[in-house]
Amino acid sequence: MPKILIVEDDQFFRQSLAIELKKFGQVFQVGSLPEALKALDTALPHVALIDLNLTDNKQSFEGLEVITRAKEHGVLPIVMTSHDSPEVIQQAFERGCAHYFAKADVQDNLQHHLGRLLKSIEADDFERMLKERFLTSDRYLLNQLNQIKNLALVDDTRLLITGPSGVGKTLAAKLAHDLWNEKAPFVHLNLSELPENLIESELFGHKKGSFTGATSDKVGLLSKADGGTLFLDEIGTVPLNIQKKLLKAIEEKSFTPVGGTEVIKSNFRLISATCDDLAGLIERGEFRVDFYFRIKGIEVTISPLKSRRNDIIPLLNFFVAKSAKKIAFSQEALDILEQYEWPGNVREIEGYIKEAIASARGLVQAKDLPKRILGNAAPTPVFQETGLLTQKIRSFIKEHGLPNLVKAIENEAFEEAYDQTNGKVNEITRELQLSKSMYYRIQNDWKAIKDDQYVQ
Amino acid sequence: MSSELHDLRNLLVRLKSIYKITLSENVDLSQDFDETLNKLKEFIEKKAES
Repeated sequence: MPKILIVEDDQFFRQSLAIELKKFGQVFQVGSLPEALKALDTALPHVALIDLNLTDNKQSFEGLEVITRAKEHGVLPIVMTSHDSPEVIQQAFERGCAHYFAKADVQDNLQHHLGRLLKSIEADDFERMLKERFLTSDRYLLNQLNQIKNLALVDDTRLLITGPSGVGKTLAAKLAHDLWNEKAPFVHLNLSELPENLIESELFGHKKGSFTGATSDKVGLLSKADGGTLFLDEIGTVPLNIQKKLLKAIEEKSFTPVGGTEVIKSNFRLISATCDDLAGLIERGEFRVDFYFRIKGIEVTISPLKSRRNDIIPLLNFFVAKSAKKIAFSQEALDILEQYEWPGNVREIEGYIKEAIASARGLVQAKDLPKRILGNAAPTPVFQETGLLTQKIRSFIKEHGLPNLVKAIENEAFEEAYDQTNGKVNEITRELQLSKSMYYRIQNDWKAIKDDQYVQ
Repeated sequence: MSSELHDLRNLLVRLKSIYKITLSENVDLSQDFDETLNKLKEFIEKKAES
């Protein structure tokens, strides 16, 4: 949700604008230069609507200073004023004002002027949130995670998150939940941590005396998730008989507790996660195919760290920054850490940093690294980047296959050319040396991905 | 002229803002509305005299 700062000394105009803008995002209002400068620091807005004249002195233009400071903070400055002096407007643009509107025009055509702009900020904001939460710059992973945004728009959709252990599946589940409704209950259960005989009772609840040890009534997680999200981690470990009962509960939005007769209603969104190969489990008869299709909905795959090595160093830095004690790594140590496979993924990085901080004094050198990392780091000569195949490309092919690599490259190159040429077909085909038929094929693929990313 | 135009525009924008707030927030701003309206009247009268 975009954060909008209104800098305007007329309290009535400010307030009426705030009422309208609440539809588009979170609104902050201030009426003077000092308040504006403080709000830029504390509210961290995306966009600032700035009146140029903030005092009774008609010849002073404090708003110009706000524009400069907004630019320094990475905030988009938009000027709204009733002052027509071309000199002042020119100064506003020289300081980096992105748009200029007359106040009366903003008042009458707010939706027309700002609606689209704020919507585009919202889309950028989502991408920024993804990057911040996952600390990733990996285009493939960002595209996968972008699908989650579509889920927030509908009420009854299921999400299946796949990927190896430690990649952040819970983080993705929480993201999906927060985007939909962060105030609703988020109930998380890791099924692999429970003995089989307790799973049913944990999920559906039980009545007192229904089995040995059931000394009182227990409310199940399905009830607790009513109106919110039930996140079932390691769904591949659910026993077949419980899969059947869960399937019925999902379809009918109701269930019966263990040992009970009353039907309890619960309306929840289901997010499942697994590091198992569910198709393999189905083949072996260990997972019900009807249950699989019921939980699948949208499937998001979070790739392991070894296939997105560019994320390793930012993740290391992130966990170091989170710690009270600071350490640094020599370049040689960083090279080795970047080449290490990290089979435990992000969780392993977090664990390693805790280990390193506990034992290191200041600078961590290659010789200080644990044996498992020194022994397992991919030998550098094998990955010398002499041809077109870089380490990142090799990892991508290993993880997703060559056809997906070709597609990803086509889409990235197309997007870049599209942005550079403002979408002019002739320039794109010339730039990328494409025939018209190739252009339309790639454009269709690219458009499909974009439509998936941002449902308007 | 440009200063007067500036004042006039600000008064009109303020009047409309008060009207909008009154409609959407259900608050009584009649005093502020009257004050702004009077300023507008004064402005017009002054203009008519000159």
